[in-house]
Amino acid sequence: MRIFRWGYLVPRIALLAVALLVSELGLGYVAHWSLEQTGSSAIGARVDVAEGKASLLNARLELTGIQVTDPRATWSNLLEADSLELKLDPAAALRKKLVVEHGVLRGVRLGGERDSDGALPDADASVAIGGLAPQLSNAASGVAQQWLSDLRQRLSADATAGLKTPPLLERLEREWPDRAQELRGSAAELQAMVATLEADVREAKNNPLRGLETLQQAPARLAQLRSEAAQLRAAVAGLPAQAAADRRRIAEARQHDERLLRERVSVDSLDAESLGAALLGDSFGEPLGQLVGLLLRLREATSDEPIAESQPARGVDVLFPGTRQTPALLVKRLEILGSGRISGRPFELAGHLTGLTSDPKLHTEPMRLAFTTTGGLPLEVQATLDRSGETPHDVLVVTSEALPIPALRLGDTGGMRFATDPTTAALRCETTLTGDALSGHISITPKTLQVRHAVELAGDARLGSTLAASVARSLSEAADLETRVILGGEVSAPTYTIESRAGAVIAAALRDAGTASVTARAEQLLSKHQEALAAKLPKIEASMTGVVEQLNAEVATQLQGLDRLAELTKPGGIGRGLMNLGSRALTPPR
Amino acid sequence: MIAVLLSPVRQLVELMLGHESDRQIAAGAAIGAIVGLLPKDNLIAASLLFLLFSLRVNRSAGLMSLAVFAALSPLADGLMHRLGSRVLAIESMQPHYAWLYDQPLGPWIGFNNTVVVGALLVGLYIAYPVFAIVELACARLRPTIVKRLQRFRMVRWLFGSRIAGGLVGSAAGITGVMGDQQA
Repeated sequence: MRIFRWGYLVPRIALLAVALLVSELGLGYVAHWSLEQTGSSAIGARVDVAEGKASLLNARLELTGIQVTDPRATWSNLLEADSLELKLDPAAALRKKLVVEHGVLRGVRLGGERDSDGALPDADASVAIGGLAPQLSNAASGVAQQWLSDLRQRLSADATAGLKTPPLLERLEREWPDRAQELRGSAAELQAMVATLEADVREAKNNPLRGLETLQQAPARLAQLRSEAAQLRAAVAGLPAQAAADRRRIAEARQHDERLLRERVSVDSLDAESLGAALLGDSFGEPLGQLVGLLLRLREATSDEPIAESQPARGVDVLFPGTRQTPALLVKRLEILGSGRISGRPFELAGHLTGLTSDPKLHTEPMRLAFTTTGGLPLEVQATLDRSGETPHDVLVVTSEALPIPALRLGDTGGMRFATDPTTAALRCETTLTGDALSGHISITPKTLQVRHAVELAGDARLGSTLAASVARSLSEAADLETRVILGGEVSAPTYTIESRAGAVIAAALRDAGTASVTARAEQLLSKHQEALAAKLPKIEASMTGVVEQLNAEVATQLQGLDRLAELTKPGGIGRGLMNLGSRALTPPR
Repeated sequence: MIAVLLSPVRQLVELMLGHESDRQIAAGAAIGAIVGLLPKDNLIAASLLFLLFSLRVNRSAGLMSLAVFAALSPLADGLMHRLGSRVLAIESMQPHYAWLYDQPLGPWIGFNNTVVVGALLVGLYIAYPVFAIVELACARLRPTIVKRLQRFRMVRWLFGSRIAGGLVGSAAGITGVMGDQQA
């Protein structure tokens, strides 16, 4: 034992023991410095720690006054915390691993202003975490505006355009009297000619010698008159057939017009999905962009690439096959307690983080973050970030039973626009990011939906009021107003579509109200049309039948006259006269 | 302040004039040579350094040897890296290496570093030659140097500047040597 300098060793062992106790101060400083350095290089912006305390004996580390700069806005903090207490695993430290068995992060606050710029001197912007929230594209077009425009056009268009009945009736109203007038004229002429012939024959009979030529021409003239009378009779006999044809044409025109008016009454259904997207798209665009941005930042902050361990200054560190490989840093469980404010609403949050590691592929469990918020924004958030496989797989689930929804103005100016009162809604949001593929379902079901303002329809306030009243009534009576948003695309170009029950209710209400308005107008026009028809048809019918009867009577009179004339112009009648003339001539006067 | 500046010179003189034997000086130099070749951020170097100060060997020789070989070690890094790589690549030893690495303090030992292993082997290899050479040099040169150094007041003054209680015996020993010489 004389080979040892006991006089040297004993004091120094005692000194070492004292140094261990005193080192708690030094280790705190080392931890403080290490966290600032490694955190800054990982985040890409300054990480500040006010004070650090460490205890080798208790394997504990406590840091206070933590500020993590937002790399996108270096005068603001991404996160602030009052204190971070960590209980370390001594056995892991003996293996050069930093394993936190349990930790508590207290006084967490999101955001906050800094007193100084948190940018690193040689910060590379390309490694800064996150970026601007992507602008989501809304697949909906101006469907609602198009529908309103079509409705306005239907109501303002000349509803009588294209109807056949009115012009037909006007034509018949004009034609029948003209036709009757013409036939009456013909009958009158015939009557005059018959009278003339009769007068001529009678005169000729009274003076046969003088009227011999007339008597000789009388039969021919009579035959001609008979022919004309027959033509007139045929024309009059054809009137009933014409009347029947005209009645058929009137019936066909009426059928055509009724069909045309029915077509004009039917209003195209408004695509509920497009309407929902048009009304709600702007309200969802920004929150969805922030959601995707949050996923991006979580993805970048928890890269699947291990944090590169520093290489030794001399030589190369060899990794032996069969060595139990564990991550250099592992946080098994970290409790998180804090508060925040979103849209002016304060909330308290409590949750935990498990499985945070520097080398996800060596740690079989995915990182899980779960917290609940209470106060002005009640939420439950669960995030699972799995980097153990070839493809990173992240899942974010957010639920709330009573999410406050502020007053909203839906839709855009100049077309269909609604304003809703503040309400609460049940929310369930599940978003998955696998590789670069984004997918998600978001369901929001408001408890109630009170519509305060009306549809604004430029140029037709009355129609706008009618449509709005119909919508407000339908929304207040609707039992289920769930709105679903389906996320898709890739994280670099995300898209979303909106399926809204509210959209379907509004679309149905608008269609019904629009149809009612158009139907009312069409019925009004139809009724006028019917009245006009009812006024004109009897007159036309009367004129048709009156003309026929009248002309038949006149033709009968003509025929009687012709018969009489025929009797008068018989050869016996003329010979007897001549014989009477001759006998009077041969008989000497006594 | 002056004592701190003169400390290396004093150690050299103490090395020559101290009461420790040539073997102790040589042993200190050998240990210092090994530590000097090794990278310092591992338990092997720390243990050897602790051993240097724990054993009854000449610390001054050890520290001087450490400084010399630390300055020369970068020149031999290539050799030590190749040597260490060969040793660490031995197939039959892999399970043993892995077992040792998984033990507590295993990663702190540093044996998985190629230069550490190579430097340790080179250091162990040259330890005995260093020991032998230093011992021989001390046996041959030390009496002559001591005789010449004792003529200088500065040397006597340097020994006088050490007022720690543990040095009284050394001063008495030196005085005894100097007294013998004067006699």
